[in-house]
Amino acid sequence: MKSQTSEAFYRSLFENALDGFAYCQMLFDKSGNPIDFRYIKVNENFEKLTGLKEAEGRKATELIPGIKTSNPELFEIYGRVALTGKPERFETYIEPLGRWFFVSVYSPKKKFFMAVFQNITGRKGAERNLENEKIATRNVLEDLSVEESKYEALTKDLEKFKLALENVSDNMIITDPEGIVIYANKAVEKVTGYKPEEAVGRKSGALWKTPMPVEYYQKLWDTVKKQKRVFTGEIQNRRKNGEVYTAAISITPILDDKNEVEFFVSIERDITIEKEVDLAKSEFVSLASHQLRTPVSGIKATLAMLVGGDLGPLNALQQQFAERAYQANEREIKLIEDLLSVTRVESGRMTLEPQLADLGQLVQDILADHATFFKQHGQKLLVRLPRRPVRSWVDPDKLRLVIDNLVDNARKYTPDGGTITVAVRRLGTSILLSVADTGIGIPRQDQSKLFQKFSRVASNPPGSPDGTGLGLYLVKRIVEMHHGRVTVRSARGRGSTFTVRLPYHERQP
Amino acid sequence: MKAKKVMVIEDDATLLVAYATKLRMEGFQVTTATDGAAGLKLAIKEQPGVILLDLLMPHLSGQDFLRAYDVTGQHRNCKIVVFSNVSDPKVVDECLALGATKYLVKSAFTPNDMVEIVNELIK
Repeated sequence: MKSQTSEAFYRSLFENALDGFAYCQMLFDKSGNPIDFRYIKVNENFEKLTGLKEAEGRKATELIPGIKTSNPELFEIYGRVALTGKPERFETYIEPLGRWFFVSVYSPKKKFFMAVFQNITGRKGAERNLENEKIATRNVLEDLSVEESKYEALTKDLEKFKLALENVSDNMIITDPEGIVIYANKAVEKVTGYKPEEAVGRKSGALWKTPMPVEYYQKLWDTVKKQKRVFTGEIQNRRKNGEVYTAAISITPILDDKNEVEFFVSIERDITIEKEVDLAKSEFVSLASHQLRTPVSGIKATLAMLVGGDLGPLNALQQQFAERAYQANEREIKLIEDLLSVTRVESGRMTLEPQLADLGQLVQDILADHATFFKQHGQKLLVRLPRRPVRSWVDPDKLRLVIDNLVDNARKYTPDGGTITVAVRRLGTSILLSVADTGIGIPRQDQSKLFQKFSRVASNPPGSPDGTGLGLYLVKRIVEMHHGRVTVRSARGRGSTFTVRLPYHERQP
Repeated sequence: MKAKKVMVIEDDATLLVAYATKLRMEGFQVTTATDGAAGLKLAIKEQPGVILLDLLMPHLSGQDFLRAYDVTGQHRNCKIVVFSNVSDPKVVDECLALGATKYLVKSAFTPNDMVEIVNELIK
């Protein structure tokens, strides 16, 4: 290529190139340090890419104020290239111009350099955006991983919770607000015969084909859905094989933020066997009471006729023996009755059936049964009743047992000619019922054990009447069932006073 | 006199003999049966004014007797005293609902007491 042609070629290239071109003279201080450069020749694209006009002939520090501070490295690089002639490439951000450039610099002659550059602000922006996005993504991912670990922990907790639910022995069912099963644990299959997957999606009531009356369900739904309270009760359901079982059930409504039912948690315990055992026990007590009473009833009827002279006159000794036999049989009857009562109390089968009763009248009725005994033994009976009748909600049949036992003890342990005082009075919110005697009394050391089962007063004098050791125990239990208490005040030889304090209930408690 | 007729339906021989003897001594016309089914047959024939009725008996229980004898209908004038050693309140209520006039627990009464009760019912 001839030099003229080649100059024209380079000039054309210089003018028409898409890159910016700047041919500059490097300026050094006295020590040889690069301090500035002067634009000698720039192409059209220089202006476009940098936005700098009329650059030729001017110093960089004049053309771009602040460049020395913002881009000191530029002077070093250009100076180095201008002196060494060794080309360099770099990316730089020219802050006063607000632009990024990719610069290739070489030196065609010493102390002069040619900078060829591209505006890469767009790419840098994209890169920065990309970087920002990367950072954002990383942040999101980090957040996600935090969430994920939280989620994992929660899942693990849920797994543990689920495992616990799965393995509890009670039936556990979760339903939606309409009663459709959404979860059933393993025990459901064990008790009902339905696999959890058979139960899920079906209406719980329809599933067990329950033989309960409609009213039961009305009450159940009213409690859990309308009142949003826990329902507890006993329910009879049908197993898959058709067998009916009894369960203790508890249904809890779980409410959302708006206090609406989100779902129901139902826990059921199969109590069929307990129920059967209970029934068997009850039947046993009933049968035992019948079997125990049968012979003593026959003996009682026969001896009563013998003692009463229905079967012809007896001589004095025969009469005495027949009467002893009759009394021994009566003690046997009393023991059987007490034992049966204790069994009922202790098995929880003695329940109170309260009704409004006149306690003074009740006391008088009971005392009438003992009247013959008082008369025979010359015992004086004092009855102190309030002028206005004391009417309260009690179980009169059970209370009869209490009063009867106390009066029976009083007359038994009071010598002939003694006095028995029975009193009833109301004291604020209490009713006080007392039975006092002038009998042999109870030493202080025996008083604490008096209300224990089979407890007998050890220091009673020889010849004292027999007791079953169950009477006062029953008294205490029945009084406690009425939320009352029984106390004794006594001293040896100075009689005893038993006081029963019951809560006064004018209206049904 | 028809009204003086008392029937004792009881499978326990000791008790049956004692009560029947005492009631006869007091002038009642007493018939006896030792199971529910025989008692039902005899009651239909004899039409007693008072029946002492045991509950746990062979062939026909006391409760079944109350149902079969139509105590609340055709024989509503006959007074039935259930006389049993069962004291379960549920059984007591059941018998009273089936038409029994009284429910007495055997071990708490003597033949003397029963004479008073029957006299009261037959008045």
